[in-house]
Parts: sequence; C-alpha cells; structure tokens
Amino acid sequence: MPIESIFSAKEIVKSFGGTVVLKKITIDIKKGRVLALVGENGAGKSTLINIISGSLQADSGELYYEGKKISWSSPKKALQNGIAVVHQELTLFKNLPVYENVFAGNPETMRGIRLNRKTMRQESRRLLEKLGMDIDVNTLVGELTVAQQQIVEIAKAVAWKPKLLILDEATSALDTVLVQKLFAFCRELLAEGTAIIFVSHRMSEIFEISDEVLVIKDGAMVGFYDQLDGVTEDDLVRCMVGYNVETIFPEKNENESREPLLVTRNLSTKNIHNVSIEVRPGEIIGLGGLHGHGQEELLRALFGLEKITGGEITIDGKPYEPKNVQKAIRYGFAYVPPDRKTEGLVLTLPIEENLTITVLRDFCGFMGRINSKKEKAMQDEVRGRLRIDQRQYRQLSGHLSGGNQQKVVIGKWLKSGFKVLLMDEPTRGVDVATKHEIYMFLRELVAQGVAVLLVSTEIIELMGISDRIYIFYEGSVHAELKGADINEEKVTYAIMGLKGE
Amino acid sequence: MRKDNDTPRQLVKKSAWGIIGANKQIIALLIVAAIFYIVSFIVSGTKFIAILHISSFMALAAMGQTLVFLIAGIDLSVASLLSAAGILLCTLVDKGVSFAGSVVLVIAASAIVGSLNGLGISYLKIPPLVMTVAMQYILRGATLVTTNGKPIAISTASLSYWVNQGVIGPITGGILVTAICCVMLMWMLYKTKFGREIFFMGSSPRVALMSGINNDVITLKVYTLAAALTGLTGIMLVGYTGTAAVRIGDSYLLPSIAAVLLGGTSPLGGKGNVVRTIIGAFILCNTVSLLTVLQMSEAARQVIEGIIVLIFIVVNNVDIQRKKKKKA
Amino acid sequence: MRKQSIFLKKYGELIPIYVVMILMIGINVWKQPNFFSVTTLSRTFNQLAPYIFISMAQMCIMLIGGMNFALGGLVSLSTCIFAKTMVESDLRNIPRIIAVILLIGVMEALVGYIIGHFRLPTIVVTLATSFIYEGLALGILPTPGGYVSPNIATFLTGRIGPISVAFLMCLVFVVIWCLIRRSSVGLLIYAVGQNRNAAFSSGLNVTWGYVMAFFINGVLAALAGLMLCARTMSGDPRIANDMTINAVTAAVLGGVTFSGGEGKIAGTIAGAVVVGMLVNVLFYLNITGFYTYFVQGIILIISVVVNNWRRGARRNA
Repeated sequence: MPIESIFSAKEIVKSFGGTVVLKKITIDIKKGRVLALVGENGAGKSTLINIISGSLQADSGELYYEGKKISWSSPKKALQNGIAVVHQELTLFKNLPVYENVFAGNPETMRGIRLNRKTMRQESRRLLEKLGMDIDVNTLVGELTVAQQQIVEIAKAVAWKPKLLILDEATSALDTVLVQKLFAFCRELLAEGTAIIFVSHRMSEIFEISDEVLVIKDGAMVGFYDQLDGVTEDDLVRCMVGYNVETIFPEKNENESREPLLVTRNLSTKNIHNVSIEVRPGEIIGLGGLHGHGQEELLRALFGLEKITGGEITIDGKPYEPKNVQKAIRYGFAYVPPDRKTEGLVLTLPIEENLTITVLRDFCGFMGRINSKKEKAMQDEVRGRLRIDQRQYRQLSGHLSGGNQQKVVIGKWLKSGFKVLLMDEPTRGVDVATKHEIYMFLRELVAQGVAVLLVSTEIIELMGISDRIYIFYEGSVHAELKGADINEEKVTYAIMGLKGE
Repeated sequence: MRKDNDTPRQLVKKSAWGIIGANKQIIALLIVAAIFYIVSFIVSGTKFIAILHISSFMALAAMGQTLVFLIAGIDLSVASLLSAAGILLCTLVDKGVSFAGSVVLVIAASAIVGSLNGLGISYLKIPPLVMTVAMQYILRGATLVTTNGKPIAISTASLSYWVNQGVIGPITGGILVTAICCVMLMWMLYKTKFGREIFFMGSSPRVALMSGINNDVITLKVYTLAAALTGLTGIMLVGYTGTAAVRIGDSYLLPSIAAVLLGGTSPLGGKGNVVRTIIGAFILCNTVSLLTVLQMSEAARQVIEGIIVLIFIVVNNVDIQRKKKKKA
Repeated sequence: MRKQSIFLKKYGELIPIYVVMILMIGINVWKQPNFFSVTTLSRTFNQLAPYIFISMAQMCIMLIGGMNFALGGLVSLSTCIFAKTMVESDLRNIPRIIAVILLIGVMEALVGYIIGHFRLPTIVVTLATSFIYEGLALGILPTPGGYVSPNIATFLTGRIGPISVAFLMCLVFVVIWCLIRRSSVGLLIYAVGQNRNAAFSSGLNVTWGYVMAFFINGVLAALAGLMLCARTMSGDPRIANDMTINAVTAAVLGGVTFSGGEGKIAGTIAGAVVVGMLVNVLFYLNITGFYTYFVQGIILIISVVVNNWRRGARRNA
C-alpha cells in the first residue's frame, strides 16, 4: 500500500545576515510515519521547522501541504491547517493556568467570544494524564517544574489535533518514564494517520520511535535513511558530525596531582542541594544531566547570578561568597552564557566593542577616555588568537556566523585575568570546523594554568572534552565519572538518575 | 576588513564609505531638516540664526532626555525641574549669592534631584516612568509652596542680555552653551568608557550585566547628569524669558521628548545621540514657527506636531522591524 | 481549606490596598458623620466614577504592555465632543452619546492597530496621540463651554431610588469587564501582555489583542468623559489632562504591572477609590493645596516599592 505524503519541501534555502543556514533542503513527510531530524545544534533543524510551521519565510524553494503549494505567513495559519510544533524554547504564559495555556488560541474551545472553560479543563486534564502527568490544571504554569512545563507544551500542540506534529527537542527535560508515555501516545497518533517529525539528541530515542532519519549538517542534507534495520548509532553520528570523534577532541589531561583551583562544599541554592565539586588547574570539567537539573544553576551561582542558600566556595585558596557579577569577575570567574544572542554579545554593536567591554578599564585615561591605540591592539590580539573571521572593519556582531559569534563571546574574557572559565553549552549552534578550533583553544588555555567548567547536553562533546564529569540529577551531583568510566552507557544511566550496570 | 594589499587610495575610499554608511541616517535627517527650514524660510522669512537660537533651548532641554532614552528610560520630571531651577536661581541671587555661585548651586541641586531619580529607579526598582512622575509632583509641590504660585522677575538683566544677544559674532549665548554641551556629550558618548557602557547597557541590559557592567551605577550617573543638564537649561530659560515661574517648564516637556524622537533616538535604548536631538529640535522649531506664521491656532499646531511625531516614530521603527525580521 | 489558600494566593497581594482604601473611607466617615447617607454616598460616587473608569482604561493598556499617555487628553476631548453634539431633545441625545462613545473607542482601536501591527512602543505612540487629542479638544472648545442636556446631567448624577446612578454605571461596566476577562478576548489580552512572541507562536492574533485592548480603553475613557460632563454641565478641553498619571497611580496601587499580563480589576478599583478620595482625605487631614502634589508623588513611590517587595517576596517563597 503506497504511503501518502502529507508535507513536502523542495530546495528550501534560507539565509540570515550573510550566512546561509539552509542549503536546498528537500524532504518528504509521510502520513503515519515518524521522520527524525538529526544534526548538531546549529545545523539548521530549528530553522527548517520554523519554515515548515509558518514562523519564518524561506528565501527560495517550495512547500507543499496535502498536495497544494503553500506559503504561510504566520504560525496561526499552519496551526489552523493542522501543523503543530512543540518548540525547543517554551512558549507558555507563566501567569496563566495550565488549561488556559493548553487551549490558548484553539478554536475548538471558543465559540465566538465565549470560552468553554469546562471543556478546556476536562480536555487538558485528559491529555495530561495520557502524557503521564497528574496535576491540577488550575495551577499557574510558572509554578511547574521544567519537565511539567514541557509536557504542557506538548499537550498544547496535541490539542490542535494536528495532522503533522513536530517535536523539536521536546524530550530534553523528560525522564524515561515520561518519554515512554509520550511515545505510547505518539503511536496512537501514528495509527490514526498523523505524521510526526522528531528531533532529539538522544540516539536511543531516535532509534526507538523513528521510521526514517534525515541527517543535516551545516544546513545541508548529508544523509537519509528510509529504514533503520542494520543502521547503527555510529553510522548516524559519523554522518551527523562528519568528523572522526577520535580526532576532533584534543588529548585530555588526566593528571590529578595539583592543588584544586575551585572547590565547592555543600553548595545550595534554590534549585541545587549540597553540591561539592573540585576543579584543578589545567582541567576541563564537564557538568552533565538533563535540562533543568541544576548544572546551569551552579554556573550561574558561581558567577553571582543566583542566590546561595548554603555551603562554601573557595577559589584559588580564597573563600568566596558570590554577591554579584562584578565580584565574581574580581575573584577570577568568566562566564560564557548559553544564549549568546541575548546574553553573550550585543548584536547591534560592532565586534570590536563587544570584545573589549569587560576590560575597558585597562585602557582608560583621563576622565575615562579610551585609548584607542591600546584598545585596537587588544582587539587585534584576541582576534588573532581565536581566529575570528570578520569581513569588514567594525562589522556588526549580528552579521557573524554562529561560530564566530561564540568566539567573540569567549574572546571578550581573554584579557580579564580569569582563573575559571564557566561555559554553558560552549558550542551550541557552532559549525564543526569552529567546534574543533574552540576545543583546541580550550586545551591551550588550560595548559596555562586556568581551568574550564562547562555544561553540555551534547553527550559526545561532554565525553570528548572533559577530563572529569559530574552528572547532575534533580539538583544534586549524582555521579562523578573519570577515566574509563566516561563512556556512553555510564553517562546515560547517570543522567537518568540510575546507578545501573 | 583592511587587507594588506590595499593601496592608500583604496583605504581612504573604504573609510569614507564606512563613515557615510554608518551615518546614512543622520544625513537623511539633515536633509529633512534643511527642507523644513527652507519651507519655513520661504513662508516666514525667519533668519537661520533666529531659528537656531530658539531651537537651542529646546535642544538643551532635550539633551538630558536623550541620555536617558539611550538607557531605555524616560525622565518626566523635566518640566518641574526646569521651573524649579529657574526659581532657585532667582531666589539665590535675590538673597545676595553671587551669580556664579548661584549657577553652581542650582546645577548641583538639580544633580541631586537626578540622583534621587536614579536611586529610585536602580535600587528601589521603581519603573522610570513612575519615579520621574513622582519626582515631578514633588518638585511641583515644592515650587508652588515656595513661590505661592507667583512668578519671580529676574534681577539679573545681564543674564538675559548675554543669553539672547550675539556673543561671538552672531552666535548667541544660548547657541553657544548648547553647542558646548553637545560637543562635550558627544565626546563622552563616543570616546569614553562611560559612553561605551551606556550604549552597551541600552542595547542589552542583560548582556551588560553578564559582562560585568554595573547597570545600577550607570543608571544613577545618567539620571544625575540628565538632571544637571536640565538644571542648566532652567538657568538659560530664565535668561531667555526674563522670569522664573512655576509653569515655565511645562511647555518644554512634551516638545523636548518629541525633539528626541524626531531625531531618531530610540526610546528602547542603545541607539541615538545628542546631535540627532539637536537636529530634531531644529525640525520641531521650524514646524512651530511655520505653523504660527500660517496663523494656525495653538490647537491645530499641536495636532500637527503630534501627527508629525507619530509619522517619524512609525518611520524610524518600521526600519528596525524590517531589519529584525531578516535576522529572526 | 484548599479553597481558602488558593483565594489568599490569588488575592493576597491586594490586601494592602484594600486596607488603605478602608482607612480612607474611615477618615471620610470620621469627618463626615453622614457619610453613609444616600445623598453623600451619591455625591461620593459622582466624584469617584470618572476615576474608576479612567483607571480601568489605563489598566487595559497596561495589561497589554506599556501605558496610555494620551488617556487624560482623550477624556478631555470626549467631554468637548459630548458638549458640542448634545441637543435639547433627549431622544436624539441618547443615540448621539452612544455614537460618540463608539467613535472614541474606534479612534483608539486604530491607534492600537498601529501599535500592534508595526510593533511600536506604546508609551511613545500615545505620547504623540496625546498631542493630537489635546489639540483637537482645544480646537473644538477653546474654552470650557458647550451644551450638556440638563436632564441627562441630572440623571447621571442622580439616583434611582436610593442607589446612585454613577454607582450603577460603574457596577455595570465592572461586570462587563469581568465577562470580557473570562472570554477569549480577555485571554488574548493577558497572553499578549505576558509574552507577545509566545502568543504569536500559539496562533493568537496579537494585533487584534491590541485593537481590542485599545477599543475597550477608548470606551471607558469616553464614559469617564461623560460623567465629567454631567458633573460640570460643560465640556472642558483641559479638565482631565492631569488624570493620566492618576490613572497610572490607581492601577499600580491595584497591582497592575507595566510589563503586561498582570493585574486584577479588584485591585484597580480599590486604587481608583484611593486616588479619587485622596484630595478629600488630605483636606481632612489638614494637608492642603500645594502639599497635595507632594503627597501624591510620595504615595506613588511607596506603592510601587511595596508592590515590588511583595512580588519579590512571593517569588522567593
């Protein structure tokens, strides 16, 4: 029986600023089947999904839905026609109750102006139970945990009874139980003829639920599998990263002899409890775990962005009580935030100004006058060390590629005299070649006596770059892995909160 | 990017285009300003210097607001601060304080008012709108109480003369002070650490925070500086009008904000500067003079001012939105 | 037990403003022993009604994000339009009044459309419209005057039985607001105010949200103008220009935030009562004339600080 296609895209091209993000993508999505989109962060998956769902317009190419050519200008049209997306970033309203979030904008519960709240409550309760969650639908979304919020987001998409359901990293905060419930629900939908596009970083999930896999790298299609028998994870990974895992990461430093540079003892904040870790000079320490389990919060707490409720920190021998960012910088911390576009650099300002913002004091004279010669010297030095590629003088940072932007974010700390570089998702949205450059650079950095503490949800990266890994689960350190223990099985188990063999 | 094999000629060309490119908007603005002036001149015959003189007070009043807009704030205490500064000046001079001393005291007092605004906004987390409006009320109450609602005639006729007459050739004191402030502020914005921090914080307070910039301190400094400038304007206004009264500042508040907006400084922060505001003030004053000569009632004048500002806002922002959509 | 704690959580932050409101009523009662008499109550509501309507209007705009700078000017303009369009025949007046109310609503709806569609900052655009409205008002009625039908004025400032008509008007429109809040329009406004991008991704029509919020704000502004007309028997192009900030004060006191998506009608009403009664109360406390400005400023600051403190405390709980 021929399988009908519900959606297809032909030669989609999309650019932002000067960078081409999607290069002639052609896909075909079939009813009742799951197509997995696999690729690294920044490969172009989210952009493609945004185009399919009407949030973005392609620069060129054609889209067909149910046989007809379409060009939607808003997500509303896509939703009305039966395409629903569960986004990576949550699109919930924190001050509204769960059931209003699930059915916001959904015409099924609206009759003219009147909202059928009874149905809204009943239906959302039913959907949430199916997805494995039992919460009061009157609760405000802001009071839920990250995992619960993600389930609400999924329920919201499903409430539109879509013919094409897109799950973009929809499982990033879910544990195994919830993931299984979700998959069971998906199988029901598939049986009814719904098509699903599934994006995830977890290979096991990809293999469990998908029928076909499309691999995207740097915006181009590099591999397509129309069935998964005989395909191994390694095949996919190699296709996806296009590099040899062995060679992209520089050699590790597994020497544990030196005095620790950073020590935390029983550190607690609102969401983390009794975290005790050690970081030695010359080490790159990885923090792993599901989204929202505390690793990111630890970094922010060290950098003065979260309130400490208990515990002690020592850096370079000195006791340290985080108060604010200036103090953190004074004590030797530097921070590369997870979202460089909104936290890492100012897109509307030139690269040069972004690079020197943390250390302006170093070349100021009378009345704060900036010594432009000194400043330019610093900019040139950093630019050279990191090999930042810019096309014109005073180019706006917003026009750089993701990889170069990340280099600028790292670069602005180089002359600040930091001792511990905190990084949250150091190579998210960065192309492969630049990833390699950044990894090599980090090794060079720590060889000079500083240390790097990084958070990454890309398991390959975590295992490849870290000398030691602390895995977080529900706010505390669940496992510390080093040496031979750093393998995918142990890491995945620990992330799920298990201590299995 | 400069390539090593660029000939000197090519380098000059590249930098020239760079400067023009970056300042495309200001050139467009200047052209618009010129058009407004020419039209106004044709209809009313007002001399360039005269319009420049009038707009210099508007521009000076709007300079503080420009700085505040750059960090995405707003200062609504300008009206009563202008009046209060003038009243304080006259009161001090009447009491026998030297003129120079009075000027210094008035500016210092204004700076203190500004720092109170800044403290409320940065440390008490009061939204700028609320804080400066509250300050407006407080100052208005204070000035009404001290003057019992009656204007004070100025006793320093020399100030009036100096402000309004030619000091250097045809350039009046008013124009001179505005020009000096403009130069100083532009230097501060583009050549100092403080200026860099202002633009950074205005473009993205979150990135500024994460880069170690102390947003609270910058807020405090900016509001203090803005109020000091307002105080200076209040002093100049006494010279301009010859009196100090409680309501003098009221007719400057909204127009000064309009001047800033016309100049293209964004109220959302991070974009704009004082030169733009001066051009905006110039455009505004030309419009007013033109409409007055055409014998339009005050009412019609106001309506047209509002429409012009609205058009400028839409045009300025639509451009931003189009750029934003491309980057998505 | 559970129902009680939910109620407390939802409305707990309104307790301070209600305490203040009761305090102010108390002072009024103390100085005016016949406060609860039918005539005094009616007079009080006549005074409060414009404040209540204008604060509700400002709340609408604050809910969707920002504030309406032109609100006072709009109210003044509406008094001028009413005073110019009323005629002697009341039969012909009623449709005219309704037409004017709708006209003002539509005018503001157009402003809302511009703001929503072009993604402009509300404060700045309403600043421009304040010029326009105040200018139009001066153009229509350079000095206070015009004609207000005495019958209508008497009716609006009078009573039906023992109940003040002003009170009834407020009550009716509060109920209407509650219905709107519970409808899809209410959800739209709160959602857009909280997170415009999320609203867009969820398939909500953001521009329509702005249009509706501004339309409601326009209607309420016109009603405030109508009540003012009734009280002063004239149109006045400057009467309400200072009321913009009063409306903001009332809304902020009532827990409405500038960022959008947060605020309850119960709070705004209490805030409006406090602001409306403020001048009287200060008078009773022997704080007169110029000092009232002073006190208004201080109250504004204190109310925001308290709000911030409560919000911070709630978040860290």
